[in-house]
Amino acid sequence: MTASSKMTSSTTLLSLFMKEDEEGRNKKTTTSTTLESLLMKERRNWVDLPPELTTSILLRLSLTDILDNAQKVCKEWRRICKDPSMWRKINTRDCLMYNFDFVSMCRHIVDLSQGGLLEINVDEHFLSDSLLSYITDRSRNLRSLGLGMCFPRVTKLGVVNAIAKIPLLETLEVTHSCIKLDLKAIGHACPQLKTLKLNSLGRLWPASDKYDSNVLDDMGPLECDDDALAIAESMPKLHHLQLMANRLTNTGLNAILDGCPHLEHLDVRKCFRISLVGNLEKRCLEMIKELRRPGDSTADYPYNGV
Amino acid sequence: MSSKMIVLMSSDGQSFEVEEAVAIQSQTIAHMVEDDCVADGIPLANVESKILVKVIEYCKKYHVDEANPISEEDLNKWDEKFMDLEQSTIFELILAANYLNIKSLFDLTCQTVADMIKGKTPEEIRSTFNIENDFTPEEEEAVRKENQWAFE
Repeated sequence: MTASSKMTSSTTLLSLFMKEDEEGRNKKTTTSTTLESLLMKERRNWVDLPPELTTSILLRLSLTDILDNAQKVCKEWRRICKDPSMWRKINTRDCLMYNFDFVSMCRHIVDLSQGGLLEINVDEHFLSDSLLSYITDRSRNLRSLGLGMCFPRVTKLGVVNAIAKIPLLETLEVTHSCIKLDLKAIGHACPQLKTLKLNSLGRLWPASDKYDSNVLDDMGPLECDDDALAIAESMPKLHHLQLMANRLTNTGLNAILDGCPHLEHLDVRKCFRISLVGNLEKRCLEMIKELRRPGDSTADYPYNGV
Repeated sequence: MSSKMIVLMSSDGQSFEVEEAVAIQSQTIAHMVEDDCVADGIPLANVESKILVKVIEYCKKYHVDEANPISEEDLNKWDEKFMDLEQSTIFELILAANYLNIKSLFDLTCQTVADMIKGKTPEEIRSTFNIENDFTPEEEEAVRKENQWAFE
């Protein structure tokens, strides 16, 4: 017997008893009550699951599954899907559908979070200063921010202004960065910053005057310790630093080790202007629990660009 | 080396003797052990015997030590077989894992249900879980309008 036919026969049975009741003055007979409770026990209704447990289940779905499907199942699930507790962590990277007006959807779910957003990752194609500002304006409790920033609608100043609104930030991850970030301003705006990941691998855009063209040229001879020095100066609480394909030199690295005494994880893969030998190597090995060296494999790096 | 045993009592009056080390995978039971109120056995008013049996089975499997080493791959395969259950049992297991505060079992049961929802349309989900569509046509229209950013 399929689920739906089971429902029909039990509903029919119940209604037979109910009809009798209507004739007999709206009082349920003992028989119908017993039958009803027997039938109830038979099939546990998933809608009866305590809402926080349904939330635990639905939280494991992708954005698409939640917004397109789960919230349309029944009133209770819709109520749960609109509850701010569903929207504390948002990862748009698992949203691969292209029939979305992504910007509107992003705004919609930020609204649903009602200020409770703690973590968000936003894919590069849709990011702009205005969207970034929309997110941080409404999410002053944000602890973790992940940005893919290859599209030219994000500016250095836009990032600084947005991040200035989220002083509780502990984790910042920027992938495919095509603009030179004002790391000093970011560090000073976020005194709790413990994790910074700046990854310039696999950029998709050619050099142009609009961007810091030096950032785009990771194989060239140009060294640049700007990022390293800014980090060393403004991010004293850093535990975890990932700087892939950055142009820092030994000078920059030493500055970081000086300025970030709590550093335990250091990932400088593809930073070919560092020479990790001698005293510097010794210093790193003493201080750092988990070290990824310039020449180490990037096979496990999740965001390898084209 | 003797292992300390404790007694767990299901809501329907059955008793199960279990190694303490196995049972304290449940944070709820662990706290009771710490508070030293387990002498007469631990009554679990919210867990019936049929479900408690499964919980104990899970905890025994996950009590990994040198005498009982097991690879993650094997555990994952075992999880899959373990979760080959009727929906009503899964439902009760979620409640039990939550009440007993066994995080890995809770994650496993919730993930199993989430996997049953993934990729399904609302109608398919309703059919799978026997959930009634209690939206009025007006409400359904309102949902569609709110999701205007999804081009159909």
